[in-house]
Amino acid sequence: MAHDPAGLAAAYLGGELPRQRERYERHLLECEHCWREVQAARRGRELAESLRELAPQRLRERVRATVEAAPASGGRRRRWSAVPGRLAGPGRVLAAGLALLALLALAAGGLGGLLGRPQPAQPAAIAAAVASFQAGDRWAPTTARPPARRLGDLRLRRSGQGTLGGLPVTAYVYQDQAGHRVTLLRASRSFPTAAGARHEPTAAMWLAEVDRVVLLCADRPWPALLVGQDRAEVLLAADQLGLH
Amino acid sequence: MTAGDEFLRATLPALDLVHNLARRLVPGRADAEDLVQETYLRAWQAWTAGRPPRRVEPWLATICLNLARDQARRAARRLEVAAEALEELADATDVEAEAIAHSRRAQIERALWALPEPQRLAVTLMDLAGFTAAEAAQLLGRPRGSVLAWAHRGRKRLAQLVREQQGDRHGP
Repeated sequence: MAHDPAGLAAAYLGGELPRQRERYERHLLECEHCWREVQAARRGRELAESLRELAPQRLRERVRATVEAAPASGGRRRRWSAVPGRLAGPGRVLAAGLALLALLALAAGGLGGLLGRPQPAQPAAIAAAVASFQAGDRWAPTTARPPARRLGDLRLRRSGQGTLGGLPVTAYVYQDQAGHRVTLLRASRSFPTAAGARHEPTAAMWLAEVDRVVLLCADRPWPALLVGQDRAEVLLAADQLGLH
Repeated sequence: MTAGDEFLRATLPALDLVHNLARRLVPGRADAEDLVQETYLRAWQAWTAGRPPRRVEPWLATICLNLARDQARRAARRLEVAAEALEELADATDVEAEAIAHSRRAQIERALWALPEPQRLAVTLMDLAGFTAAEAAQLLGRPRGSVLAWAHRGRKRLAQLVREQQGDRHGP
């Protein structure tokens, strides 16, 4: 092994010495120069890694709004001033909300309700889940272990239990710093299908929007209903939970 | 599921990576967020034009790097970064421990920006974005050996700069 302390340390820390690793590690015990090279670079790597941060929720919203507002195919670039950008605080949230509302309104034929059309009657458990979410998720506390403490930017705020239309559920309420909320409802048996639900073709899931509340239901790995205000946020939560 | 949903489902898990990358490619948080948004817009357009990638992370990173190169405004970078770090510190209303962490983070951030660009990019791609040396080399269009050397020098220099800053702060 040629004695090139910097080169060897770089290769070692870059995972480039798979066959010589043990030999190099033995060498490190004997060679002060190489050991210092590795230690210094390791320290620098730790410092760099400490800068890792989660993307803020507002950026997630901007990306979603951008994608939803951009043409679906062969589209020309659209200046993002047309979608939420650097507006401050409530203005940005309002703009994002209006952009999404406009899109949802255009798609209202499939989703229903936003243009004042009557919504179909929902099964009792679904109607109760929506009402509970809209009322702020007030559940009787429980110590049930959550399936996840974080879902992206959303953190577990509280757990609770109760029944929805006769179906016993455990609720896990996730929220981000901006106050966006996604609630996971777990049950021991399947939830009924919401009226107007769209079924995912490649998975046993359905997605629905009821009174501007987004619902995603899956049966695996356990019967679950995700409830939130934002479709992409709910989809992301489903992805993080591995629902399918 | 719509094409937009599919795209977001495939690419949003990489948002943290793109965000971390963008934060070290352009100065200031607002510019970085603009860069992330532009990256996703370009990616979405490529996706709908029938060019979905085999792997999402390097694909998004490539778009982000190319956009950042177009936007390079090197002369103003360090001043803006220093200003932002101070501004963020002044805005901090956290408890003392968080304020200290915040200050320390700003210190490391400044040190990272003080590295020569190739070193900063190599460290960012490998240590912040989690790419291997081979992947980083491909993204930068440079030999793997060069990228490894840049990363190594950058890490050592970063540690040294932070140590020096701490020395300055604590005084002789």
